[in-house]
Amino acid sequence: MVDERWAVPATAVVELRRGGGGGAPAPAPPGGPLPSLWQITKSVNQCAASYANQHSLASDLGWGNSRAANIFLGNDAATLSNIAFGPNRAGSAVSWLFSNPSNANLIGPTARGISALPNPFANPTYTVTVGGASASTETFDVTAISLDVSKTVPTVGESLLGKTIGGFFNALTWIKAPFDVGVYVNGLAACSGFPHF
Amino acid sequence: MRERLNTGIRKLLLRLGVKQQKVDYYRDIALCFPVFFGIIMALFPVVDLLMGQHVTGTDLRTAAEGLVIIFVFSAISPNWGDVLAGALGVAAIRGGIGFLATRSLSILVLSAALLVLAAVCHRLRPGNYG
Repeated sequence: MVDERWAVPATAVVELRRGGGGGAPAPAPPGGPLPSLWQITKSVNQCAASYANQHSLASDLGWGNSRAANIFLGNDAATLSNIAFGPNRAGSAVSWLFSNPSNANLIGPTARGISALPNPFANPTYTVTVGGASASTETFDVTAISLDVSKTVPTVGESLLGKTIGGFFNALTWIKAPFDVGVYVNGLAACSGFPHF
Repeated sequence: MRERLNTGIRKLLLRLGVKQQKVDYYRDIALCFPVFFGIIMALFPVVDLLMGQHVTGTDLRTAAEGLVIIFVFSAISPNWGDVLAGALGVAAIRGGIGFLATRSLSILVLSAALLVLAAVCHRLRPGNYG
């Protein structure tokens, strides 16, 4: 039996009754066709995403009603579910590209790319190396002297934001991701009628 | 007090197997967590204002608590600028994700402001992690 608190969203129920899957609503025949496996999966996952959003880190901290907390601490697993099962697939897909902890995350490469750019506001360092001249040489051979000047420009990552931002982002994502997935799996259990926490 | 806390955190990190050279870096990463939550708390009334909601007394109290948390935990580290920069930078990134969800331009502006603040904090007190 589905837990009533996390019942399938109303829109999904309407879709099931109509037997339609996203297009124009078909007229519902009396006692219409049974929902397909895809429709059941979609409904259960939408329900789990709703559950996960209501049990996100923000809610567990007692900030469920706060817009700020929901914006900054939303459930990323629910976002992934929304990409696969809707609703609002496009927005979720873009969001997931930025928030997932895998190599497909756009933030890492983007941040690394920006970090590697030379910082136009930082002062470059000049290193001058004098070589070829010996202190004991009495006659000074000018042609033997070489002057090497190397210029080092600090990158944006080194001088503008520092290392901490990347390290903390990784740490937060790797702690938050298992939590989000755990809550989502619990939501799946709750929405499917299995025992859950 | 600050030294004692620093020593305590360092000992704990060393016991957890963190290398001596990396202790300061991981201490600052660890301090970023409470500071990050403090920043979110401090942003409660700001986000409400930006989203056109009225600011409640509870929001203001939470924001005040958030500011205290930010101050206390960032002050523990000698590299307080980098601790703040890390937390502000990640808040800016998460704000960017929030913008994609809400499509509110105010949130995008807020995220940009947080990123600029992160850069300013880092410039004020950059961490030296060797």
